[in-house]
Amino acid sequence: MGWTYDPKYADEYYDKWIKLGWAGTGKPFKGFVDPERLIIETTHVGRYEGRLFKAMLTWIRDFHDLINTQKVIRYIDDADVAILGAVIDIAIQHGANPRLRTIIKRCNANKEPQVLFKAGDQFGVFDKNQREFSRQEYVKWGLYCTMLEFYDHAMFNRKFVLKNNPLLALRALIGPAIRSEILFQLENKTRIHIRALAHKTGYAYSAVYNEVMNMVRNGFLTLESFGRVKVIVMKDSLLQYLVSMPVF
Amino acid sequence: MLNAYHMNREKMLQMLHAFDKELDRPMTIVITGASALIIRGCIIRVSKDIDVLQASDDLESGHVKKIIQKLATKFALDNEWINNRAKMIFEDLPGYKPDLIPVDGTFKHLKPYIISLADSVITKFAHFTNIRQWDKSDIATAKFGEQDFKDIRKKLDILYMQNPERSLRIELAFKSVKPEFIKTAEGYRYSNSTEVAEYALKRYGIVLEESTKKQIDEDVLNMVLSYEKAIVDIDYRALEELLRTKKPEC
Repeated sequence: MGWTYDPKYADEYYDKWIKLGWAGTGKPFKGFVDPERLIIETTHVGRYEGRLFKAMLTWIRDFHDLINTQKVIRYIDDADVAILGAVIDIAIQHGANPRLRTIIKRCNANKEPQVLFKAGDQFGVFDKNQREFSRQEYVKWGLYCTMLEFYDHAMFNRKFVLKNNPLLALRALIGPAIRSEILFQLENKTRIHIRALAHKTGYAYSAVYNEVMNMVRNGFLTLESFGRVKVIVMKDSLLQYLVSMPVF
Repeated sequence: MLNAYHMNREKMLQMLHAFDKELDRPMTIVITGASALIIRGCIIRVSKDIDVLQASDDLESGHVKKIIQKLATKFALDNEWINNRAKMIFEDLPGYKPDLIPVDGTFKHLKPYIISLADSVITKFAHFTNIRQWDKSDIATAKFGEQDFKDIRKKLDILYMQNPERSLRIELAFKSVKPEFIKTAEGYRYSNSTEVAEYALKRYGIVLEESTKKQIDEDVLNMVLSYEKAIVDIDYRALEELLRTKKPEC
């Protein structure tokens, strides 16, 4: 995917990572932050903003259990796959769950090695330095980079992350999979058609249909006729439970 | 926008005054890193901590630690809002003595200093195996005067006597973000290959062939090279020579 960096949007990326728990400079983003989409976009923007890259690396290491790997894979065509592979690989080496390897399998190293950070250095000193001292963790992905550090002292705790990101709170409770995505959408839109739900969650219609029917059978959801179509409705008691879900 | 977790210049000064009020005996601290640049007003950004290079009392134990934690709670800051992690720079620069500038303000017990701008350059780039993108941009953003450049040259020369490789690498990193640092001994921009050759000879004992000089002038004329870049190339040549002759470390 082609990517043009526009510095005027950098602040927005800072704000989005802050909402996900990074104690960076800015204010938490006001809208919904899709963590997987943010990771994918940071594989591009992080090359110009080293702090964002480091925030992403730290977040994946610390909140690996909240990442929906299927969603990352669905977005993967938009990613810089060498950077994504390197980041996930390093995060796993530093404690993230090895299940993230399913993402790595879809990533490729650069055929022509490149310096990871674009520094805009007119004499090429920074690039030379990165090539000379690059960490092997990056070299295997066709990248040159010397920075391998984490924001150990600049990440908010899980309480902050879950309190400010209802989708992540749901994932923390029932796992980072299709069910969380469906319930999150229903939490925000009480009546929705399965096709619209599939579109919103980004999953295939059949996968959403099967999952919804399972939840209907278990009594969490009901199907209501709305004109000629059937819409899914979340049971009031479940909705009440989810919106008041405690975060510890 | 500043969130509660961070400090801009005013908040840092406020915290230093609050720290001073809690102390019951004299204490000296030397501030370094981005916080020194922020306090000095060279860069306008926020930081979550104040980096201390040296302190007369240990920040990590006893009475001082209690004060730091008390203020962290009171002002909703990180528990390590002031810390001495920056002291690891002494691994790269053993025995380094930066120039100190007192922080303006009325302090009773605390004597806070910031390191000079020249020392900020040396300390930011000293760990040359990992020059971070943001360190580079902090130095690129800071404004340097002629006196600062003179101080940097002087400090690099002193460092060169102890550790030529580190000194050269710091100089190269600095030149890459501040090309205006590349000036002749008289303080002018390089304007021909004779001046470049003179630099090479005087500084490193490197003799440039006439053909090389001619090539430099041609390349500059064809806009594929600048004299500043030619100087950087000479520095690299010197560095390569230095690394070739360097004794392998045991």
